[in-house]
Amino acid sequence: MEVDRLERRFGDFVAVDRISFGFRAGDIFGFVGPNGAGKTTTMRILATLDAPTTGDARVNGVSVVDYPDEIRSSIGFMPDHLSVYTNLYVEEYLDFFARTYGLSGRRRREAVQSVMDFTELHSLRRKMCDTLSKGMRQRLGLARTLIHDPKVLILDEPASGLDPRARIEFRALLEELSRRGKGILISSHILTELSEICNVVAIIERGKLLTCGAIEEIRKNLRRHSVIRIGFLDRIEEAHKKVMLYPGVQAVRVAGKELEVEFVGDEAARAALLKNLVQGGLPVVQFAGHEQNLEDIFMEVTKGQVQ
Amino acid sequence: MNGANAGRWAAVEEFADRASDRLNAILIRETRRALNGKLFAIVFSVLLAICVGACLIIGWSEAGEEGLGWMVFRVLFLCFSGVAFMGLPSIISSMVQGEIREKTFELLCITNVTPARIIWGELWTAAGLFLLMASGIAPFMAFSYLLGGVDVRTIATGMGFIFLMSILLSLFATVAAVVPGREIASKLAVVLFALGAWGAASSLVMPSYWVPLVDMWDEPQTPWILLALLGTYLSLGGIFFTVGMARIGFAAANRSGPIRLAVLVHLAVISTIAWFGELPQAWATLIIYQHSVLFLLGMACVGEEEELTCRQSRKGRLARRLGPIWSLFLPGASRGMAFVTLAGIITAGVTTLGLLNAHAIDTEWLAWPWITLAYLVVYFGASSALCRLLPARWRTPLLRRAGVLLVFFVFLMIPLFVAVTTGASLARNPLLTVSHPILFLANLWDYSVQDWVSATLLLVTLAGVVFVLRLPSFIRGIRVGWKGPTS
Repeated sequence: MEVDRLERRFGDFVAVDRISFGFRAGDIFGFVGPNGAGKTTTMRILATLDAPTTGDARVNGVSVVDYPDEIRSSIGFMPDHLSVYTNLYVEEYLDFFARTYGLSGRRRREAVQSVMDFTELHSLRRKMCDTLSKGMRQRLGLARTLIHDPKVLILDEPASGLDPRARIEFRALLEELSRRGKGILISSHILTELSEICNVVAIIERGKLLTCGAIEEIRKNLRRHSVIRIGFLDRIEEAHKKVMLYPGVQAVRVAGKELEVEFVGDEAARAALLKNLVQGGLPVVQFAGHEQNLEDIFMEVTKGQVQ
Repeated sequence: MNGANAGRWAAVEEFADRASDRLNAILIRETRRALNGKLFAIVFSVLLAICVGACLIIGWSEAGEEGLGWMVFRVLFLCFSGVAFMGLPSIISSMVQGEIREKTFELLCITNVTPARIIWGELWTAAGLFLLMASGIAPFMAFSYLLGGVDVRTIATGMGFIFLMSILLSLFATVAAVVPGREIASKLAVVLFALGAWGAASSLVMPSYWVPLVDMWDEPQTPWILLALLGTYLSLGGIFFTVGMARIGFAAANRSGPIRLAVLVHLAVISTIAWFGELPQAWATLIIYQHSVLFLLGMACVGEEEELTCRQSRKGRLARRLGPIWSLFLPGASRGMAFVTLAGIITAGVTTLGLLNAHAIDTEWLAWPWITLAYLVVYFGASSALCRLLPARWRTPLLRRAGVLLVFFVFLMIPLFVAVTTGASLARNPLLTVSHPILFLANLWDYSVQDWVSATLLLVTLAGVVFVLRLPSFIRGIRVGWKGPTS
């Protein structure tokens, strides 16, 4: 999927401001941003539920603006709300959506069986949709999204409101789908979770794309120094002075008997720092690097502005 | 169940499953939901209970001149029409509202199902549920036939009328259900539009009530009137259908084509009726003429588009190559207005000639100032209501709409004026929402100088206020409408 200078205006209000990004088959693309950043609007445009003011998006080169009818068979969209019909069994629900995608006869029946097997809903096939638990409804939503075997999945906050177990199981399903070659665009507020499953992320705020790329790449671009935590048995004042004067050290904060050191340098330079401290007779009891995670990156990149 | 039976049952299931692939998916889903749920079962049970009760009560009474079967049929007809006109649209409406409440419409809009197929699905569901209920009442209808006094043709015609009306009302229920419920103005618009639509639809209800009362097949005009009613029915259905599509389709293109097609059908019907001689009190012409007001003003609201997608622009360019006539059927600047203007001229001409040709002479004169006022209110009120029902993408900007609507209003007044001068009477249809207050006002009219002066002053004041408020819009609208199709 390629998103090309996508813009959506509602009168004077710019919900999405000329954003561009892309991902490939097998990628899990995390779409991150505060509430009201324009994530859902973007996803709705990509799912052909809304039209952009300007710009376009293409799946395998086919425009979602000009050919929405053609694109729908390649896209599976799971909105942030769990929509089910009353008075309809799980199997009937999936059967209905299989029909709406034009599947018929044996192909339809096989598709229903296949997604029920994949999402482990088989035992609930004769249960009314509106009586399912939240976790099971989410599985049903994923099954519906997969019923026509789309190439691209667009999942808007799929894990919100799920208990830890359901969340881990859901994550496993997504990883399996990625292995099967589906391109997945996923938005979530749970950044630790996204960082575990996404290989690419984009951060959006007030409709603007702030950064996009692999997490490691963003981390490198954002901050060239790493943070090292050094624990001492005592003599913390002396250690503080010594570390401050060491080449490559940008800043030092004292936290109890620990120093939090912002340090520019590779692993060899870190080893040299440790050796220097030990040879200087300082009682080092802990020396650990702290990597920036997605949450740190998110907090650094965004300004907390909402529109 | 033994092996042979199980095999046969599996074959039947396999056959039914394959056959269902040919049906509308919404029909299958809604039928399943109706059969899984309680509402349909309750409506069906109430209908059967009423029928049984009515048959038992009538069974104890003595037969009148028409025969006991005739009495049973009339009661069954009334009960069934009540359920079909209210119960069935309620079921459809609650299903659609549930879909909106649960936001499942969005899920449908990203499948291969088009807004048109969704509405067709709801209509097929209404038809399916109607047939299920009709099968329940069929034994009672057969019972009335066996008792004597009613023939099969009358029963079939009556059921046909109920069926068509039930489908039309279900269609309206679908449209009303997809209008956002949070906005009070939208709710009001639905009510206004429903009132206008009822004015048109009531002429369809009326014959359905006549069916058990008169043997309409003895009248020579019956086939023509039925044809006119069918045309009106289809036109009205076209309007509802298009509004429904507009509401359901999220990023859908402007599809004003069906409404324009409905207008063409309507013009054909008017032409047919207008040239039909000796109309009884010109009622058919006037009823259909009245409907034309509703349809044409409705169409005026969906002629223009505020923004076009790349694909629509390409289609527009293609249409322009085909010539001005074809391009009238496509959205784009001014073409809708040109269509309204042309349709207005044709309607005015055909209706005038029809009124002259129909020899509908009576001594009762029309009180023109009151009619002018009434039409003015209906004209702009229903136009605004319909416009309100449509999403922004489909609305014609007020600037363009107002002027052309005013011009069209003048076109409508010409045949009315001719009707007055030739002495045609107004149809006395008590069910028509529009004609009823007009008749009431007409009865107040005593041709005194005071009446003329007060009416004229009222009209001039109203026109003055409207013109002062909207003068630039009118001028611009008239100019755009007058220029005709543009690129």
